[in-house]
Amino acid sequence: MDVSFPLNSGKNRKFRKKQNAKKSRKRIEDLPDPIIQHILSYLSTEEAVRTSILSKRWKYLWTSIPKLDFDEGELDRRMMFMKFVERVLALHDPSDIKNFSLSCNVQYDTSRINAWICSVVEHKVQELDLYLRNFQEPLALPPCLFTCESLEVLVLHMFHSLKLPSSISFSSLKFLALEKVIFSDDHSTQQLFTGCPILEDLSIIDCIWKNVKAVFDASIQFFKRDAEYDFLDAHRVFKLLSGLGNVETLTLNVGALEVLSYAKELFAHLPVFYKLTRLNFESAFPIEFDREALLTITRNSPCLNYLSFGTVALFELQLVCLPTYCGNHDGIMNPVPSCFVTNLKTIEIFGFCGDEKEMHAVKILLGNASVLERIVIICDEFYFEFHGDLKKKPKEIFEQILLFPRGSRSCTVHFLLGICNAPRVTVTLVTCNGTFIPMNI
Amino acid sequence: MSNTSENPNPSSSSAKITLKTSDNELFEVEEAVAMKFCTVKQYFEDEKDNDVAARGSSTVIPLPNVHSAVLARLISYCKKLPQSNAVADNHEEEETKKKERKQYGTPGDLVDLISAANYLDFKEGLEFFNQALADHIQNKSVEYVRKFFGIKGDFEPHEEEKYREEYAWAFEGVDED
Repeated sequence: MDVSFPLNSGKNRKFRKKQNAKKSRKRIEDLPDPIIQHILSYLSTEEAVRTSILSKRWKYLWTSIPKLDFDEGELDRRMMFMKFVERVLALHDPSDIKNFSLSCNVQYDTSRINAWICSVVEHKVQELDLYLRNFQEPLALPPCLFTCESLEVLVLHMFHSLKLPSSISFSSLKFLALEKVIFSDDHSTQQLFTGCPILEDLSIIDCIWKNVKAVFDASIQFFKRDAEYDFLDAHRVFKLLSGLGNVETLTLNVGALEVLSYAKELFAHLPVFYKLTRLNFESAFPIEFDREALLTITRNSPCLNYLSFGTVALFELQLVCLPTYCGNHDGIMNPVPSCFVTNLKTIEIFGFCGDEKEMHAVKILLGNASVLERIVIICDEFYFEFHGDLKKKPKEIFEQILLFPRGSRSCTVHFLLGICNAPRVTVTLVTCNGTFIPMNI
Repeated sequence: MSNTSENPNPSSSSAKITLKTSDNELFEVEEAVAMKFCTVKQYFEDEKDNDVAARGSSTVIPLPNVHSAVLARLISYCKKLPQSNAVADNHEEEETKKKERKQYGTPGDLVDLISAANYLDFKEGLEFFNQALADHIQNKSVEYVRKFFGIKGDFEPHEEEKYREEYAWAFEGVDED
């Protein structure tokens, strides 16, 4: 251990022991309030509130915690839960509530819930995460929410129509995620998106668009797109993509892209994504990379340096997706996307199983990407477990891949065995540059 | 001891600063490490302005509120500091960090480390040790926390009972260890 040593340690050894023994031990009660409040900020809301009965000194120490998190859960203790939220919000001191997360049943309590939201807006909330369910009466979120100046992150998950006030201005909002939300009409939906002038990241998951015809105008500048499950209309997808010309990172659900194929005449009018450097295709099914829609997007991204296939979303247990290439062009993409010869440095593939079509896809990618620096292939551990022979098969696949002709001489192949939902890629075998090193972590 | 005054190979990255603890121990630490402690940094810069510390390691910075045993641990933590103190972005990473935090021993140790880090204005350390202490409170009953930290409950029983009722939600599903 490289602990710094006292310079005069030899001389003072005996002496020091004595002093050590005499050293006064501090207790938690000796720490100043701001420090204890900081410690409490690492606890869940329930835990922090629980400290209030430790002693009189602790009674109100928790009331400055900047993060409040309430989850009604499955327990049937509604009265207790509602009372708790109300009490905590009422006793919180005037300092900011930076994060507020609420997951609960709505039932007939829309006005109470709205009052909570207004309260955290007054406390200058920056991150708001609402998961609302079991509506027994219609909910219109309070107008003050939609003009909240401090709000940077808004996650709204509710299977309910989104009634919007006439004035929307999220001047600080950078991240917006809407899940299961039912958009009510064209005008207000459009207003919602134009009311977010500095939005960087938008996720729209399983939302209902049936009341909306056209939403995205070019007012949206920088976007990272996430999953798209429910664009059932090719023209809508086209409109959306057209509004994303300035995007830097794009995550596309392939299912949504496929819809474009119903209006092939639109391909020619897709924008060129001049700023796009990272492109992720994700899907619950094998991704057919030779589909026109995918190839067109890739061709229209001249500056792309990162391309991935698979799910990189943060949700638990998603199905895996693999690039496949069934084309009979015998290894030639015609024409080859320009980024393949100018910028594309990294390709990542999640959930690889090594079947024939996937191998073919890898062959095509390796053969055509002439400035590629590395390709990372992550095998689906479950797949190989189910099919036995855990160690041998990936090794064979890897050796086979190493034999594929490569368009780029300096490209390294990284072959990993892991669980494929990317946030927790647990690697058990790591290989690179042709060496095969089993590693148990 | 001659190595304190004359550094045969002086370069900015290996410049040393000497710190003196409450029990009169001297610690020679790299400047980069010492500068993590804002209190030391401030002192050092003031000295520099006064032109006293022109020869760097010749100054001894007194830390009358920090014991040598605590300082040694703070310095060793400092050296292990990761480059980026990014928030763990997945469960496993969080678990690893938690294990790391567990190494810093008893609550008494932690309280010493926290008050020293607070005195030294050592931000990363304060965050780390505060979180380590919070780990000890997590999911524990009030009785456990009181015993663990030697906190004397001074509510009347009926008062405590009242608060427990008011916050009943917070007392659901607590470990009674």
